Amino acid sequence: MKIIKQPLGLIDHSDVQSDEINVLKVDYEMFRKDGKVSYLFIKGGHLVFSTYFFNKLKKIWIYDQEEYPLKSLPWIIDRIENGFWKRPADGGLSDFERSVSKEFDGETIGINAVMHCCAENMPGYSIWNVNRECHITNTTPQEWAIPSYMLKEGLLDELKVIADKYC
Amino acid sequence: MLENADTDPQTIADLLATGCDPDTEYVLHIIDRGESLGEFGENTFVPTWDNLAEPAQSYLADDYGSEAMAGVLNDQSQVEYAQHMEDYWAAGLNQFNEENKSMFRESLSLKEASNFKARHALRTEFGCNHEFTGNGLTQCRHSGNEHGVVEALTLQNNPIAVSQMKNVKTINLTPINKG
Repeated sequence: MKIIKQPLGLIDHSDVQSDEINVLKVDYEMFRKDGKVSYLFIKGGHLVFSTYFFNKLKKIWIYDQEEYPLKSLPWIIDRIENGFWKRPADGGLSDFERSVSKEFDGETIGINAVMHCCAENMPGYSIWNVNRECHITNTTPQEWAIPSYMLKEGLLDELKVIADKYC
Repeated sequence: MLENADTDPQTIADLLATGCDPDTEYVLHIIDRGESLGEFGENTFVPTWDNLAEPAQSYLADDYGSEAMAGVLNDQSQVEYAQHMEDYWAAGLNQFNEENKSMFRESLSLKEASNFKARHALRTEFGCNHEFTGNGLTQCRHSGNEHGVVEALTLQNNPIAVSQMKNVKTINLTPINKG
C-alpha cells in the first residue's frame, strides 16, 4: 500500500520562514505572460519547487509546490546527465528506458522523458514524487516539468551547485 | 504516405490534421535513417490503442497508476478526453502548463480527474492529442481522403535537432494556391 507523506506547508514567497531557504529563481519564459513565478527552496530535508500563479478558474492567486527529498537531487542530476543524455554505448539509457525511479527515505522519486514538456514539441522531463499529493487536487503524484533546453542552458549546473552545498 | 499531398503545406496539414499558417513558409525534411537506427528513432511504432498498451504501462503506470492507464486506451475514453479538452480550452487554460492541468482536474470528479490525468499524460509524454484516432492513421481534414496517413510515433529521451541529423534532404514547400 502506498504511503502518503504528510504535506510540507506551502511556502509563501512574500513571507519566507526561517527554515525555508530560497536557493534559485527558475524562469519559465513560456509562462512569463501569465505572471507565474517559480523558485527552488530548501525546506528541512527537502528540495521544494514552489510556484505562485493565477488560478483562472477561481480567479485568485495561489501557491503550489512539489517536494523531493534532498538526497534525491544528486540522483536526479546524474540520471538526466548520464542517463537520458547519453547513449547506451556510453553508459546511458536507451530510448526504450523512458522512466526511471528510486526510493529515498520512503519516497519514490521518478523521472520520465516527455515529448511535449511545457510546450508543443518541446522535449523535457517530468520529475515526480509518488508519495506526495498535489496541493491543489490531493492526488498523487506531485510533478515538476522541466524542458531540456532549460537544463542544458544552465539549470542543470545550478542544480549541481545546490546539490554540492546542501546534499 | 503523403504522395498525393505533393508539396502543398495546406494539403499536407489537412492529411495530418495539423494546423497550417498561410503566412508561414514551410519545408519538408526527408531523413534517411540508414543503418544508424541506434542513433535516433529506435523506439518507433504505429500508435494504435493496442500498440500503446505496453509503453503506456512501462513508462507511465508507476506514476499515474496501471488501472487508470489501461482504462484510457480506447475509443470511448478518447471521446470523453476530447470533450474535456474542449472545456479546458474554453476556460482559457494551457494544456502544457502544470498548474493549469491541476486546476482543471480540481473541477472534475475524482474518477474523471484520475482518468484525465492518465490520458493527458499520453498527450504530453507521447503526443496523443484530442484528435488521436487510435487506429494507426492520422485524423484527416482533406476533402479528397476518407483517412489520414499511417502514423509513426517515435519516442526519444534526448531528441537531436534536425540540423544535427545526417542524410537529411530538405524541400521547400510551395503552396498550390499562391502565385
